[in-house]
Amino acid sequence: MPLDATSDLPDADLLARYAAGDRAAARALTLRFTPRVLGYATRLLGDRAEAEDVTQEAMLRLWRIAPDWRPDEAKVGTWLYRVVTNLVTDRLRARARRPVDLPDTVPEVADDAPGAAAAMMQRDRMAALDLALASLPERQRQAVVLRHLEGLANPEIAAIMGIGVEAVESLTARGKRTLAAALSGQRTALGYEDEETGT
Amino acid sequence: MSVRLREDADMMAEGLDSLFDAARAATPPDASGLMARVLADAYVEQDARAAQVMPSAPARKGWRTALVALLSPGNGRAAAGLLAATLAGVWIGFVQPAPVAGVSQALEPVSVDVVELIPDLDTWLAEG
Repeated sequence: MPLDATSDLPDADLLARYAAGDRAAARALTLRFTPRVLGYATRLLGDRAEAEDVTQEAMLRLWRIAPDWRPDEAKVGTWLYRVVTNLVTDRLRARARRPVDLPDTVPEVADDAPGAAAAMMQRDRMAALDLALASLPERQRQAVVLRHLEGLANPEIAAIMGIGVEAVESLTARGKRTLAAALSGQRTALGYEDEETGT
Repeated sequence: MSVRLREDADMMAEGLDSLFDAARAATPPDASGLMARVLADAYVEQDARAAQVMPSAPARKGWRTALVALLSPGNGRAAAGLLAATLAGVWIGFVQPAPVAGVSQALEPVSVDVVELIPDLDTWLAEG
């Protein structure tokens, strides 16, 4: 049976197959989790190269724990997010608090490309979001990214961050307020500079 | 003024939600190079584990597998040796050659003294 990213097999079953030596299961797990883990690490670190290192390390830990995996104790995705969160925290503590390496300007898009203006607007919006996320305190950033960008439920976020659900709700709410304040000066980037309301 | 701030906050909240939606829908950056490295790690770990398991595998298969392996073609000399040793043992047991018989007779007394550790009950009844 060919296994790929669209395989319907549950994560734990794939991991068991991997532990038994199944190459196809290794491919399916790689396709299923690597992009998600990379996206999460990139949002937290703001650095693609570092995020790739963290992703590779997290996946390596998954391969190594596969023979001892207990499916009743954790979901594979939750476990991976937790590993990435811890690895990122270690990196952020280890490195000096240097400015996040995000572009100040949007890359040029060819004027004659179809939808060029829309693409530029989209890039501007994503760049504004990344800058605003980078300005959040670490725990707020983790909670906001997990909730609003990774789309996880609060109980799962609580398990990943090792805190209670109420603490997750608090971090998320405060994170959104901080984010809104950080973005308030970038109405142009968000695309509604002309929507001024009357008093 | 407070009404204006509240409207701004509402607008920002809507803007944030819209921004989150756009970020979730955005095409993820190409990660093919990273995935190739991740998959290579996966294979290395699988191979390493297989290499660790291999040497102990025959021991867990039991004596039947070992016997089959012994009797398989290519192990004829070992099997022949085992068979010869077995037959020799059986033959010695049945024939009991002279040296062995001599030893048996030397160890076994011609007459055996019988010591009655528990006297027969009839002895007591006769005296009584």
